[in-house]
Amino acid sequence: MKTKLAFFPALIILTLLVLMSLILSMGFGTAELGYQAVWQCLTDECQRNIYQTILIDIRLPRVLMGFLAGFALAAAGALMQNVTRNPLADPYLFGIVAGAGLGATVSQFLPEPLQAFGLPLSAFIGALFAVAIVVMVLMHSNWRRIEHLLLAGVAVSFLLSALTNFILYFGDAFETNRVIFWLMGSLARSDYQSLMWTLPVVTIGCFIALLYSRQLDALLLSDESAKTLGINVNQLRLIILVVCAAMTAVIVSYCGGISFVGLMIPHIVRPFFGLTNAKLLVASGLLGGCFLVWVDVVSRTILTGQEIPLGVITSVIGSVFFLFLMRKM
Amino acid sequence: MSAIELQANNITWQVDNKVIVDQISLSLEKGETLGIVGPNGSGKTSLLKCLYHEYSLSAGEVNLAGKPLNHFNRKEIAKIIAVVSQHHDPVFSLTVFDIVQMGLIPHKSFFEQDCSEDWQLIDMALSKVDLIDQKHQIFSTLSGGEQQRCLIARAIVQRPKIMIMDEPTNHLDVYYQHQILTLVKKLKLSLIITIHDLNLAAQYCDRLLLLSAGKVIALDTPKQVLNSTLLKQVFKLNCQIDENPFTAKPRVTFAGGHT
Repeated sequence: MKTKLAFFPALIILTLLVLMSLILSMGFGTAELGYQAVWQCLTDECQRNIYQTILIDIRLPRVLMGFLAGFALAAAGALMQNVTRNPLADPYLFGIVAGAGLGATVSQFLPEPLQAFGLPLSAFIGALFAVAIVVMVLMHSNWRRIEHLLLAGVAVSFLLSALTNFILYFGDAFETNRVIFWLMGSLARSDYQSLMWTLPVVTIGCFIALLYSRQLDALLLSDESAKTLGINVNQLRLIILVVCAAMTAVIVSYCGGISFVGLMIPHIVRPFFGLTNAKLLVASGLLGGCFLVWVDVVSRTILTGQEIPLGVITSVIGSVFFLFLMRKM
Repeated sequence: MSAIELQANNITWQVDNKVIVDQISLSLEKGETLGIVGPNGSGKTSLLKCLYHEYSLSAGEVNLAGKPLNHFNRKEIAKIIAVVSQHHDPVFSLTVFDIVQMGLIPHKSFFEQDCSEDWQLIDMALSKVDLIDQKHQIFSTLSGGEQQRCLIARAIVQRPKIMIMDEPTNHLDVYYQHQILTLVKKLKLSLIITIHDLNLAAQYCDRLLLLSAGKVIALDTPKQVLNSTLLKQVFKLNCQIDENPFTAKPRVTFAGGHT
């Protein structure tokens, strides 16, 4: 593909867009503060203590988490699509959301003192559980076809959702609400602690993916041709799948199910940045981060007094986008 | 006698007790072109895959520059053997450049960037296969012959000693068949090619290996291998051999179903 933009100018534009989004989005929220206050707080010191609390303790981690979640999901989506050579692949392919949902549901049975910390952790364990089943099935079928990955992911997804639904149906109504709302996705629980857990995972994940980006490019043609170029295809694919799973699982356990970001963003990025892995990964990540930051702004401002779940907005945008994309294809 | 680049000693490959490649021995001399001919299902492609370590042998061994193949790791093999196999269209819109660039992979370590020599090498390879003007065109929009040339350019960038090609002339018209084979002969590599058209094989290969049901029927010069008795035995058709008036190489004409 002859890309529409040279890589480095495009990267600079995208980086500026990211910085602008991060700062501008801080100004939106239930409390109207004005950009002067935001600017002052970020560069110098806040005028009033309450601004300090709102901006630095509540909004900043939320905006950063939004960016990080968007970055991780879009980057994982780009990797998954390239590594499976399937344009419809996305990071939720392994049944990660279903697994995390099951984990979150089970977490209600934890003893009271563990509850606060328990939801993200048990969601994470649930997500890893789903990934483990899928990978085990694949190992067993000797990786003969990558289509098996997609099928195994779908099957595991349905199995774990069924278990979740069963528990929720017989469970306590309040708990059910909590899990269902969590599954719809929200950044409301973001704090510096959640950033502390997610940032290292996403950074290491992207680092590993970039390390292998040249080898990953070879997979774009076919497995066989990649092997003749000296690549251990099965090992490479397993590494990347685990990286994607870890990044997605850690995001899902804090933010719930935010769908379509990983599926949609790489498709937007390809015509502008090309489809080789390093470029696609970085550009998808940055754009995905921006996208989610603004979706979160919409989610917390469009209705006064309450938030719309993030997953609802991304799904609406994503599905319309896809119908449009199909018309063009 | 020139150096042996690659040697196979009694190699056998089987799946589920079905023997696909049956105790084949061959050797490839430096700079020579070895053609593998035989009917569909005779094991031509499988034999190639055994030679470049895509399949693990059930018995026997392949030696590369005098060392057993399984002493090399994949990357080392990729520096010596380039493979141009039959391919499918990629799902994503890869450009000619993207694909030719892949040839650099065996020579690069982690995080190593392309340098200006790499760009020159890619351009040189593209010029050699006459695709320099299509550098940024999408691979799947190329014609069959152009796609084949693009993959050859990738193999050139790989800088191998040996090139293995699986049916490079498939689906090409007669002009492109000759174009591709003339092109690869000019590269002065040691070549192993599977090929259906016996006359093309006779014209471009130094030696031919006639394969049937996984076994070697004959391995010799085209003049020796292409004789009517052997061909009748393998292809189950009557045929006549005479001389190609242009090249003085053997020319095979099959009788078809009439006799």
